[in-house]
Amino acid sequence: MKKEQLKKVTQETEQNLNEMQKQVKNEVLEFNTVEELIRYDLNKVELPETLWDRIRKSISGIPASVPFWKRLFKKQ
Amino acid sequence: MPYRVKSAESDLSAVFAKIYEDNAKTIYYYALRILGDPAAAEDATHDVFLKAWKHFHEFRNESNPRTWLYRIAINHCRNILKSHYHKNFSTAEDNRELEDMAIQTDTPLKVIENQELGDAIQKTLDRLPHDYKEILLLAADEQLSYQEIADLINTSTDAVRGRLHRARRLFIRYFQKDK
Repeated sequence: MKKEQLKKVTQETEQNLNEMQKQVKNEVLEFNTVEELIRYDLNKVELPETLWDRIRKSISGIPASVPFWKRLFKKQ
Repeated sequence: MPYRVKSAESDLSAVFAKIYEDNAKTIYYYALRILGDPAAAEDATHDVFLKAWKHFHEFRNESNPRTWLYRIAINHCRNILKSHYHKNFSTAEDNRELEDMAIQTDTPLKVIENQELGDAIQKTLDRLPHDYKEILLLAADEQLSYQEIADLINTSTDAVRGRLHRARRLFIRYFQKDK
């Protein structure tokens, strides 16, 4: 790559970076309460995708417990 | 919302799946911010739902599954923190001097949206006594009333209000300091 081309690419990259930084800087969020901030954070967190499969596997061999009186009536 | 729990195993599984769908993210988030580690939070959430399944008979149709799951999660996370996982388990009782600070809580919190926001919140929560962290996370859940929070942490609604106020002040102080 020639020196001029390299200079052009560098300038473009710098420009893109600056624009990205500006965009980030502009996104100032305002929260009236700590709870609002926490709720915002919660919405951004993702649940691990494999969690339900793990739980399903773990519970598959275990019958859900039912109240003793229901078990009693079932037997009769 | 009502969950009709019937005794047939397939019905129970379907109801349980729905309860998971509606509440898993909230419970995972609670564990994540209390334990401060995604892998530990995933394990804790798994254990909470496993316990919930084993004690399904304790869940009544009329009660809110969210509070029922929170009760399990709160106890589970407390046990983890008190045992081997974390040694610095402190409560506000251990940090009385923290309560005398004059901090404005009515000015909006201004934050810059970036990837580090979650880390900043975690860092701030980690500096709080455990009971402050706990109450802020519970109060952030709009599905819970002050009465339900009070029941979950075995205190009165007045105590919830007071503790929440102090927790907010301390959170803001640390959050703004760390920015």
